[in-house]
Amino acid sequence: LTLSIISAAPGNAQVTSVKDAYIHITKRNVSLQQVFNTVEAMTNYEFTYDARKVNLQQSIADLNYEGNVYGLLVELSERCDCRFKQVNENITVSKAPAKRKVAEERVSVLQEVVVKGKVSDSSGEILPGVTILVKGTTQGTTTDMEGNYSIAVAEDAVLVFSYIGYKTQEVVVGSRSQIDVLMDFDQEQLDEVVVVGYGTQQKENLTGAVSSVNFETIQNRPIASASTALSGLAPGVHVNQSSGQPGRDNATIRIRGIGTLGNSNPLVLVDGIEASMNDINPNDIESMTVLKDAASAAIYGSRAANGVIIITTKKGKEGKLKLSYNGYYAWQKATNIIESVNDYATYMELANEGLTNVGGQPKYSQETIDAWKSGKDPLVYPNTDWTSLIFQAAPMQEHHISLNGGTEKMRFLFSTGVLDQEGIIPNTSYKRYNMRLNWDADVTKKLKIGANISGSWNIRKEPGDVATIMNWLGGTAPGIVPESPDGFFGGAQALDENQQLNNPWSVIQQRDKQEEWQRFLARGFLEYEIVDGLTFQTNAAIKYYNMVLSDFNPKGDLYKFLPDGEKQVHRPYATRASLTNKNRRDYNITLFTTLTYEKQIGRDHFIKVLAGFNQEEYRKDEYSASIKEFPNNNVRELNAGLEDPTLAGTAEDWALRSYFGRVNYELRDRYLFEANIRYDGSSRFAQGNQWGAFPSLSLGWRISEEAFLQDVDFIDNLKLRASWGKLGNQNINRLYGFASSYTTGLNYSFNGNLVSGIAPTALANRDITWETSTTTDIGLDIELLEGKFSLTADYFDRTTEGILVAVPIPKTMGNLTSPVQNIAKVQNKGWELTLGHQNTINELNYSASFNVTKVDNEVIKYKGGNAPPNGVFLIREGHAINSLYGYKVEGIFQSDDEVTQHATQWPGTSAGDLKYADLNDDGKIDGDDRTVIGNIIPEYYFGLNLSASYKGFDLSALFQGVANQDVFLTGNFIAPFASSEAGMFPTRWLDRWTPDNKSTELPRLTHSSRFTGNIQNSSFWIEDASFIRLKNLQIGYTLPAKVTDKLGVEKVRVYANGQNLLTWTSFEGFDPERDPKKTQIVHPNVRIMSLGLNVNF
Amino acid sequence: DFLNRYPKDQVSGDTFWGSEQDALSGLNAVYDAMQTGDYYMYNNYMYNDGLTPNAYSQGAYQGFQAIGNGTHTATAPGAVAGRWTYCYAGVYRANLFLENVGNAIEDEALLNRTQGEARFLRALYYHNLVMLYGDVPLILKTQSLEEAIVPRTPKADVLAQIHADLDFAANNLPDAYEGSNIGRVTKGAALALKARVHLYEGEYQQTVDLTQQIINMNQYGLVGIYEDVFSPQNENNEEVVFDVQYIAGALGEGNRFDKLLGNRNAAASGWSSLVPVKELVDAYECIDGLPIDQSPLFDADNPYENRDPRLASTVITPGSYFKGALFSLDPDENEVQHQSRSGFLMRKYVDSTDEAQAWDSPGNFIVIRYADVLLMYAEAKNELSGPDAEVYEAINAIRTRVGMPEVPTGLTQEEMRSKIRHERRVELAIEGLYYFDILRWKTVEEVNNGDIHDANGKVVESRSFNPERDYLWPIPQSELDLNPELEQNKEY
Repeated sequence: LTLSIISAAPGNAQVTSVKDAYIHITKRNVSLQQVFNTVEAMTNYEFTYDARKVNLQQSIADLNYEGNVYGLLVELSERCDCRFKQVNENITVSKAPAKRKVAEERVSVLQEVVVKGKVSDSSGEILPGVTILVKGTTQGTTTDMEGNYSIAVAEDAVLVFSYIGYKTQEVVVGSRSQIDVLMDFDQEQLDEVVVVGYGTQQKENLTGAVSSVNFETIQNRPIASASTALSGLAPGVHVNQSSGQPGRDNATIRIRGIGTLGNSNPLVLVDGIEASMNDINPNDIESMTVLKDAASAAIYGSRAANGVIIITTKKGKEGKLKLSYNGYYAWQKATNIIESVNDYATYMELANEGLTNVGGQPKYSQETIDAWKSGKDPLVYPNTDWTSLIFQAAPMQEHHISLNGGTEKMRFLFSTGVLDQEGIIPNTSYKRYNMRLNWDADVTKKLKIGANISGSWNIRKEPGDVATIMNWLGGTAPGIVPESPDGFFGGAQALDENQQLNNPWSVIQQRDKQEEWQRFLARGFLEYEIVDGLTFQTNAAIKYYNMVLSDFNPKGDLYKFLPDGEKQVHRPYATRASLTNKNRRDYNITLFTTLTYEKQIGRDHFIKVLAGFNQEEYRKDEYSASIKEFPNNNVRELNAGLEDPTLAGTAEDWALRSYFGRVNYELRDRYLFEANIRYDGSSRFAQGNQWGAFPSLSLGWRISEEAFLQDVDFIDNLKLRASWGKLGNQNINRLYGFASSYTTGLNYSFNGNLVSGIAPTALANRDITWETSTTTDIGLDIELLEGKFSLTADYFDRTTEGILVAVPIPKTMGNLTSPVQNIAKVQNKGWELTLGHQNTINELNYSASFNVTKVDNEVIKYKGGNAPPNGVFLIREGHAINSLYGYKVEGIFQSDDEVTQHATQWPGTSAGDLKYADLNDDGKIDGDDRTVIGNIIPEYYFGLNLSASYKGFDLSALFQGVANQDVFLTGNFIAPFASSEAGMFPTRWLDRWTPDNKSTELPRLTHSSRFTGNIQNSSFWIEDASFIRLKNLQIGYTLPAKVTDKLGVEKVRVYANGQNLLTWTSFEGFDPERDPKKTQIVHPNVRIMSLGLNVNF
Repeated sequence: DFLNRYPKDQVSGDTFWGSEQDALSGLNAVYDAMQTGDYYMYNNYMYNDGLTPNAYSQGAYQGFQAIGNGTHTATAPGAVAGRWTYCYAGVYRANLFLENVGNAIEDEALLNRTQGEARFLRALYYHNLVMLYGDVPLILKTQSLEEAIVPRTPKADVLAQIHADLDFAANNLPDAYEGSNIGRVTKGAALALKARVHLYEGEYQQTVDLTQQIINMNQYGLVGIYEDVFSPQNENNEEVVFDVQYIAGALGEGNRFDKLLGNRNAAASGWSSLVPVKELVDAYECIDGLPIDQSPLFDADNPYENRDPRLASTVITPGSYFKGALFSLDPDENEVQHQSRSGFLMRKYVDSTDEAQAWDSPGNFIVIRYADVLLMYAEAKNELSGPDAEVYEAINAIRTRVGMPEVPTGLTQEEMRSKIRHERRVELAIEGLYYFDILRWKTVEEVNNGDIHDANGKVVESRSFNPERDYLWPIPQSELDLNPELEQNKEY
């Protein structure tokens, strides 16, 4: 914000109108300036003007005037292309507008009036210090401690009320003398100060690529994890939530593509301390800033290569105590469920078809099939719809209370809440209790101290590993009774069925895995202003995590239900009951200290310098114990176990030490310069390779401040940015990749005696060091028509070199785990665009913001040549990371002749099978015919955020999606009979190829265990995972003040919210928003509908 | 120093090999390599029989099914890469030990003995490699990344190294051990492996000399009851020349046979993943010493009665009881849950006490046993000089131990050859050796080309053997990709 000199208007004595003052003036060849001087000398009038806008030196050829001053001004205005306005004794001179008005309209004479009033915000809070300016002048005043103001202005004046955090308002004075103003809270304005690394920056002075997300609107969403909240809101940020399982629904965040072959997670800082996004309750978040380019992130050096997310929690505010409650109750349902073949007779017929198609014997006898067709007893002849059984509707609720207040000297915010979420799979749930205290105090004028203390207690329940359950769900068949009415779990009913089929329901009902963890984060800080402009700040923080896991897998029998009502134990020797307990404890200790100096030098120079030190260390200890066989399923502690106790435990640590600095320089408010450097030392590398320096440089040019744009009224802001910098990535998966070490536990036994065996199992590489990414960014910010329209565009190129890759080594070296080497190079190039619009029409406020990002990912260097694929995923130079690799399907063979004529495929190929392209034209389909057939990294991702409010109603909608993303899907629930002749498959396979049904896209049924021709990695199994989804819709209603006043509360708002409400996609799996590296079915995402309440006291 | 952090649960490479204890731990790891790789190496050595008309490997992912029916490729999952990988893991650990043991052990006798053990194990790994892949890189020291790009070494050179290692072992190893050293490589083991290597190369004179030397040691004998040879309760018996030692008890040192081979009824909840086929069952003679198509004792309605007792000790046949439960092809009377596509289940190496747990069974796997030594002797001697008295004595010792009649006298060399080959098949069935036998006899082209059958005579699968290609496995494609010096075997 620019500071203006505010002067209260002088008193208002009766003055003479220019129409009543007479003058005689005769001059030859004078300048305009001289005319003004003459008039000033002859009258009481005083001319005011902006010398840059009005050419005072232009000459007035012959001036011979006699009459009132008004006439003189009219004449001057015609000759000099300017206009005049008299207010009291002032005559303001300005340039005439392009479209000329008649000369008389260029000279106006106005009466001055005194306007008084009170300024408050929409909640009735009095606002002191509101700036009131007369539009187009520097004349103005501010409100006093009671929110009152008084100003003398001309009656046509427009008063501009502005206050940080509120929308600027313009009021035409007219003939009113009392004008009370209600200021509206303004999102945009709040964003004007943006949190950046180790400090803040005014948005207009930012030179890097930074997105800032305010959390106000996000808070009422039924989301458990802060990571999912970011979805669709910030350009360049791709949020992917791959599961809706309670406690495991946190999203992955990728900033501007995938920059490394290793860990691509951004660095997340909560109040300056590295933390996980899951550590924090979304309700406590004030704002999130995403640092995307090297210039803004370089201050975090070796951890910033994948971008940085800075989270700031809410702070206490001076003023009266405010208590607020947020709560909702929600219902969850899977977003989409694949319909599978649940009619067992059909299932068996199809299975037989699949077997006989490949020369096998039918697995199910006609007798069995007929029995199911005529069988009525669902216990004996079940046709189980597993998905409807396993994915149910589930409730969720959250309640959050925060208390906030403080005095001039001390402020605090206390919050606490509970989240209780049940999963759509029974026996899955997540509960979280959390608490936070943010406190700060001004001990003296110079000394400030504060603390943030937060903790959470989390309990997650699940019936073992949900991925395994999904696997079993896929691998079962409809001919199993999940559970009889009297509580017995069924196994395969038909004798000709695979007797080893699992009953996923019995696992869901019986297995009991509970993970309980506590997180605790405490940070204390001290800030001291040594001299004016020089501030010292130091922070110490500890982050502590403790986890206890108990996983009990009971002994469970499956039963076969006989027609006579009896039942038979299906699996007399089921595996033994087992129990595993695990305890893990981690801590991080972080210290950081900064010294900041800022100074305005003269009018034109502003300089800000930062120097700092940071160090962090981490240690994890864990141990686990397990035991098997229990007296019964009800005792579930280690002591009660009987057989095979085992123990395991380990520990690991790392440390990081850093020095950093930053210089900001602003020249005449429009030429901006910033440079950063960070010098980092990491324990992940050997001595000698531990230290690295990461510099960055960025420039900004606020073109709108230039003289030549001063008169272009519709441009509020126009800024060009450019930045360059180098960042590091030390976040490699091996903490000790440099250390040569021998693995224990390669044991053997002699004559019944256990002996210890020790040998290396990995090859170390002493030479490893940082991955370095270099980012160039060019950006443009435009704001038009007083913020009504805005545009931000960025082009970026991020190239990461020396990516640590465990390049496979020949097994002849001893089957050693490959050493990591600084080898690979990956480039992400792309652009981001954000378009914003906001407006107010009468009482309707609305805004729309659209953002889109395009990223092209390419592996520039990997291992040279033709790196072999890892299954269907390929990392190869010239292609995107983990490109999909396989055969190209040309269609389906319609006849055996066509098979013969085509290149030779797998033995047994016949009509109805997939036809692969013979890419190298050698007459046979083999590994050499494989090619890149898809890209799992979305090319575009976008978000559209709409909001509107009218009177008490408010509405917001968020659309989000990706385009051009491929996913490879295989296995059960996708392909028929994918696992040993069993497995659920979608009903779409009813339209498979048969000699009678040739016009289909699906091949004939074949059993994968006997014929692999159709289950090769091929384009057939690739799905387009592009989607657009109504990620969130919220409708709220705030009770009118007269009602809330009666209730004695400040604000009451009720709302309804829907998360993942609608999805538009052609994707055939459960949900297109999934981990694209997982090729099997996974826990679906959930649609959550909630009703909630906000109350402020 | 704040930034210097090292692994907490591993031993630093800089200080290892500082003591005798370190060296012995290093040597134990060389033994351990015989057990590594979950399914490959001696944890699944019996699956070799799935490559022959003895058995059928039901799961595709272990890789043996494809090799058995000739549809395997260089990129096939499982065994093709698995055996290569884990043999070289053993070679690496042996090389590492041999490079460093000199600094760690001062006692010269112990030094020589442990070197002998390591060199035997290295020879064992290389023997497996050359049998499966032919020419293989001969690596005798630990390599840097640059050194790892090496071509294949001619098989003859690898064999020469195998013999050199085994000679050193034979000269430096004791005849036997006591107490907690039992299970280590002995002199007899080195001689026996050497004999096997020669036999597989058709070098009969050396085979005869070496096996004779073992017989003369009087260190070994045949266990009275055939089943007891393999029983976990009877480990380290007089018939064992060398075995892979396992113990149960959730120590990570149990074998996996009961999971892999056992049936679903067992406590280990087995997979029945390798099942015998009719061709093997039919190979067992009747108790009168005649093949089933000649013996009057053979009853097609009760085909498993009056048979060579080794059949019942090797295969669970329909109608038999195992651990008290009836095993039947008729689902209604069957008390054993099985998945066998052939109708037969494995008995040899499957725990009969039903105490073995999944992935954790106690029994040792015998790599070389005295019966094999006798049969090697008989075979080599017959090839050299025809069926003399010693040949008869050797083969009859095997037969009479299980109560089978002696072979008829007056056989021609050819007839005796056929008797010996039959004897090897049934005596050593499902021990992983028959595959190498039919390869070297070249009978594979005949016996493993065509259908294999289930108990009812229905086809289980069709086998195909391509003589141009299938005498060797392909070099794993991943290795060719990583090491441009390697060349693929013919026709792959």
